[in-house]
Amino acid sequence: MRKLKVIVAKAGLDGHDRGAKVISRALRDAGFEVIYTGLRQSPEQIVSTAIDEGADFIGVSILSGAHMIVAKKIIENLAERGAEDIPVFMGGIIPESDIAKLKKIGIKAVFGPGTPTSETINYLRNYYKKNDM
Amino acid sequence: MTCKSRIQLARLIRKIEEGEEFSYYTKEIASHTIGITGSGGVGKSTLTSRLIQYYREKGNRVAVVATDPSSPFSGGALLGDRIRMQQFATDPDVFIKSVASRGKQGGVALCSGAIAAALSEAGYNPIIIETLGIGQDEIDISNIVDTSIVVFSPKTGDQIQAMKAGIMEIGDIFVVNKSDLSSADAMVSQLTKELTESGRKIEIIKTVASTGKGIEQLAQAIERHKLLIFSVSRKKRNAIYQIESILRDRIYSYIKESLQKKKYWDDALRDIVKGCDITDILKRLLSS
Amino acid sequence: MKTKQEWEKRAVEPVLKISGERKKKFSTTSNIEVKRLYTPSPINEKYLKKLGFPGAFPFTRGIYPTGYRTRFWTMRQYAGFGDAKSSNQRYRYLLSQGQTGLSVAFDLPTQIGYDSDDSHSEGEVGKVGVAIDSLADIETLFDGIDLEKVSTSMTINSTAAILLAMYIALAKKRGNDLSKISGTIQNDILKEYIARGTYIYPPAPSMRIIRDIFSFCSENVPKFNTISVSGYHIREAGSSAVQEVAFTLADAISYVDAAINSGLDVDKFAPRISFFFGAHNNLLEEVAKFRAARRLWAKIMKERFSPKNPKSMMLRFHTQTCGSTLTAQQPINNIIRVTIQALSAVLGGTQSLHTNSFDEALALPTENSAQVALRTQQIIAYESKVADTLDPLAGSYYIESLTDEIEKKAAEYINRIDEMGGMIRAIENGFPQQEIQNASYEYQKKVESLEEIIVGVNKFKTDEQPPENLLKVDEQIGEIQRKRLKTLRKTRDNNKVKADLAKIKSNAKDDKTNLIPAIIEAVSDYATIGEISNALRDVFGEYQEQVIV
Repeated sequence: MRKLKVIVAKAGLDGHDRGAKVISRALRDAGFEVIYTGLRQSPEQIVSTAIDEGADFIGVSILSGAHMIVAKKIIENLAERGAEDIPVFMGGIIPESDIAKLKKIGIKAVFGPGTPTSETINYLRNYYKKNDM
Repeated sequence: MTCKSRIQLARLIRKIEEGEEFSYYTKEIASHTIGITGSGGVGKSTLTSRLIQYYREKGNRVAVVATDPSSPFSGGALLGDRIRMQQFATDPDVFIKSVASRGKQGGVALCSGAIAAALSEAGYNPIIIETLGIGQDEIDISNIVDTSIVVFSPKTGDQIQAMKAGIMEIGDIFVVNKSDLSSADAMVSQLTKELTESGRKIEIIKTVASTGKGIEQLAQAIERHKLLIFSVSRKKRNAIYQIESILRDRIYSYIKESLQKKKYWDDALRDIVKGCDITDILKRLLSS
Repeated sequence: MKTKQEWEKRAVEPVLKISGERKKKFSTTSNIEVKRLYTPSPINEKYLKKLGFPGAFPFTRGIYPTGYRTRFWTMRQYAGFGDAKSSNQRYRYLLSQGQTGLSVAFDLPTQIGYDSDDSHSEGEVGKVGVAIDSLADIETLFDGIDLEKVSTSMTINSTAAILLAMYIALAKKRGNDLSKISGTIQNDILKEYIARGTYIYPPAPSMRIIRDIFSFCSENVPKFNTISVSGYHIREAGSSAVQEVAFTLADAISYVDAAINSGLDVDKFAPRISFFFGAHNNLLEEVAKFRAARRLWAKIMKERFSPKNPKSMMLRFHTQTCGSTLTAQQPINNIIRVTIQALSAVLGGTQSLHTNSFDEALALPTENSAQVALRTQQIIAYESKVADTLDPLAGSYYIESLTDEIEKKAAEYINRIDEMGGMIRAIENGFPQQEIQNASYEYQKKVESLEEIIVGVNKFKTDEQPPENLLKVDEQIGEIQRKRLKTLRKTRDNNKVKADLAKIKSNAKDDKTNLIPAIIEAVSDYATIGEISNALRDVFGEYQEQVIV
């Protein structure tokens, strides 16, 4: 079976990477191949990394409140480079009222504080099955 | 190269990684391939990052294949080497690919060479292949690449063992990284002594990857080595290694699968848990 | 000090003469008198060695002889968002509500040395704190606030020298007496590499800047706490209580070493070192943690650096309740969590305290939620009476045993770090990072297997409406700051700024020259944080993250 590859990136300037690292480990322990990019990644870096690594998913963690602009830029960048088929999900401190907006611009899912890692893992597996990627 | 073809290349590489596009596994690699090996924490990724910078300044298009271990339990992997190379992520003339070992021993992934072949075809030259950096048996790298660089750092405790375990024999260039540490010179003279005893003539380069010191000298040594060995025979040898590796991998998978199908495998596992004699179990498996 | 009488006479009486106590007599609702200190009777050697008296080595029971009976801890709420003007309004509001110190939160571009109009700053301006680009913003931020009367704590690290320079420049401009201005800069770069992530330069030049701050301040702004060695962020990154103590004290040892190696006398700067810890949910372990940290630090200082001034051995600390314990689910429950955590800090003898607002798992606090948070502290102080006697939990078998264990285990970690060649080397090898991540991941697994229960998250869940009335930072702030910068760059004397920046660069190249005076000159001429940081980036380079997952 094809191994699933996920990019886990910290976008923006915030250094709170506990969540990003926990989800990276949990995904590894669930059999995914996780490419962890580290802190302060620009939307362009995230998209280039996803393309070169042949990623099946992009996961972006952000807690500083810059999520709207970061999400918009990632989605635009993916489209510009013809990689709009790579699904993007987000985690971090994101107010409920912004989740609908994020989904509208093309973010597939948002996982807020307290989400069990198993929920994210199941989401990714089901997404893969459903969309027959 | 346009964006579209970059995506195509990335997707081709992804297929190679999944064991498809078989022709690449036996293709000759035209580009110069450089292997970077050494224990964990010696600074392989930072050194690689500096080499990318060097070759970019020279105008080369550079590619990197970095290897991280797969978890033997889940089969998953955390690939974190490229973190030190992320400043090149948006450079159209740098291609970085992370691969997981997926159960293969020897420090490189089964697909590493094939990916290098695809990258070579796409015009990247040189191609740097970084090993896992966990064991001392990471000698397969020398079968894939033209120039093997073994990286040491002062104070890494397992170095004497590394020397005994054969990693000394595969190096074409030795690097003592973190050479700003006081014990660096001791490391260099120890290596020199070992080399003299074994009768090998190998350059030892001192670097400080975190500041870029010594990278120019390292690149020059790589260039000298390239001129020295760049020969067809080496390329052929690599192709033979590739075929052997794949055969070994496929045959193992085939045998294991058929054992599993016929329940022999499960029986064996159960007996191991029970505490039966391992030799007997192995004999039974082999005869079946 | 061997006896209680001796302590009363030599330690307590002088304090009573100068500052007295809050009340003439402390008593319970049943009119039972509450004494200043309870001890075993008779006092034995073991007690003296392990606990001693408040205000005396090893300071297990506190650093002041009369503790909260003279003065409560400083109630200091961390706040700041948007531009300087809106933060200034929040500060004035908090001061009018009885808060006794300011604590400034800066936005990430300010913390990482980018101007608001830098491309790195997009979407970040004014988000997690106030946006500061130049002295002009600092002038607005402290408008109407007397710098001699209020102590200001600034959560700032890699750009601490610049913000401190701005504060000093403002005080000079206003004609304040520099020996009277007080406050704290966090200035703890090592934990940025370990846990918080707002580093700029590699460790060596970063440590040099810190050294320069130490020596400049001991001469010029003697009442300023020049560092707040922080365990809070280490804890927030998922460490255990023991790791929090161990890694924080190991960081602190590195700072003391650096200062001493540069020729400073230990007693000149060590009394200005302060600490910053988190307060977590495990009430009694947290109390023990604070006590253990105090004792261990006193011993470390005494054994390694032989100071003459007892103040050099006192661990003074600020506490913040741990933000990561707050839940987005059923957020009102967070008020109770914060109460328990704050109580642990008070029972552990904190010098100042920030209590989190209940909505902080969702957004920055509103004025209403920030008020509840402050009231929580006030209720503990004025109504619960736990502050009427010193170190009230001392002598509990459980607390004393936990205190011993935490101290022992933390000391073991510190020994391991010593063997690695010190904390900077350990960080470069990723050791503390790895330890913290293992602890954090283990905890997450326990939560998911229900071995650890988080009320409202993995048990006792309810269907709830998404919360309303959250604070939203004005998205226009970025634009406003950019415009302001444009005007500033037109109106200031750019030739002066150019010369100032050139001077900073040349001083940076010379390890022996103190960087601070040139930075003060530059900020006084309205050079920006980004300009100064970039000048230093040119000389020092940037740190490359050591990722350990």
